[in-house]
Amino acid sequence: MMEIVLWDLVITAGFISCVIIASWIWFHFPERTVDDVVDFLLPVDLQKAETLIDPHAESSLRCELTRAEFRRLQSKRIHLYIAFVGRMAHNASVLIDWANREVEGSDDRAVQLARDLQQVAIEVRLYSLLTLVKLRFWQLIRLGSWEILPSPSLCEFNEVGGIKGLESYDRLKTAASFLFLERSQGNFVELLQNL
Amino acid sequence: MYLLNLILWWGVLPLQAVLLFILSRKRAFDAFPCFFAYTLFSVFAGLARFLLRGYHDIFFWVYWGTDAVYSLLGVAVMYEVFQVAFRSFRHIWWFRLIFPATVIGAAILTLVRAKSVPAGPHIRIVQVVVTGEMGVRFLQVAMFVLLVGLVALFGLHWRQQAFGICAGYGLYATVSLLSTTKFYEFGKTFALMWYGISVAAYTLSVLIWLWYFTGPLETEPPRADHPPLSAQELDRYKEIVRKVQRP
Repeated sequence: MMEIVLWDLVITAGFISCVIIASWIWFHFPERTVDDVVDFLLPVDLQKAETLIDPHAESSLRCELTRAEFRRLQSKRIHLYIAFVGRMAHNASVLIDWANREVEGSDDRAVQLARDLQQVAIEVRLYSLLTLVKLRFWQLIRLGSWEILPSPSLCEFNEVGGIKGLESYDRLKTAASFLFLERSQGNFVELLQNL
Repeated sequence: MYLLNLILWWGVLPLQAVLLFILSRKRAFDAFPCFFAYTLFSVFAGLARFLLRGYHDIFFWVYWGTDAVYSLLGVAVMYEVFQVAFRSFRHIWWFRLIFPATVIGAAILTLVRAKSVPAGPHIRIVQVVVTGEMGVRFLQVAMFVLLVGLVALFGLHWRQQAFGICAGYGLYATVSLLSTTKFYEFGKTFALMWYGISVAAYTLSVLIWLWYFTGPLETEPPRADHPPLSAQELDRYKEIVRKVQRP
């Protein structure tokens, strides 16, 4: 019985995938060039994000605050980290789109830089999505409200799925900057501010 | 009616010959050796089947023999697609386990499924070939679903040829699995219709491959010994970054 359900599930997934890919092609942003990057990015304050997942900062907060106070603050910190990671995921997606377009070009140097950007952007996106799934699950089961358990810690998000998130995001900024400098000199400062 | 049947059953053969010609002209055997081998084999196998269609005894062995080779080449092509499409993930250790895990999963599910369906081809060798073929189709659908997921979640480049190869197989394999399942459920009543749908899906797959390979061939250039940016350029970049103030 189980194998019949699985079998039918695979066939259904195959058909759904055909529909997904057709709608992806239909609704996708057309041909993202270097001019369509800066305005679509959302700024991420890496220093603040680092503080949120810093084990020393978190343990000192645990010591200084009462249990109830820390629980309330931690819930807000989780919300803030979700906001940062959401922006990281969005930016990575925009940059992947741009890199996909650039690898089709004829300039060898730009193609190599675009491939580097693709690689690190995919890494950031993977980290962000895994982190978001985990944090949203915490929110779903309201892990922070369970009195018998200690407040959830954000420190474990330093590394998710073997990827050091903020370190990768920093490399993403560098890779995007290099490609940007190669393709355009225009609003480079704006790019750095928005990333 | 005879002409219509001829086009339906054998119309895909000239399309595959065109695909083989395009692949050869673009030297696709360097980037996709397994897919090239698959296309080359399918042209010759199709030709052999077409020429021997009047000789039932020989045709039987040629048909099932070539079918077995198709399955083996199908797995090899999927591995090739996995290597190319997932190259951005190769430094993540657990991503490398996805392909072997999918192959093992497909094999187990196919064997269990084949055992639970008593009615089927009566000759042992045909049973083995059909089971193997179903396993490969399962693997192709799983890989297609995975790649579509990566396109949707990670913006994986859908215009790359590896994705096109997988999309063609995925579409055909999905329809083929459905038709095989329906064949088991309804017996021979709709056999002709399901076979016709499978052939139409395969023709569509070849058209997808043709569309993907008519564009420029996308290959990963060999890594240069030196990084794409010079030390001076990096210094200039650091200088600019230092000057930028956050709003």
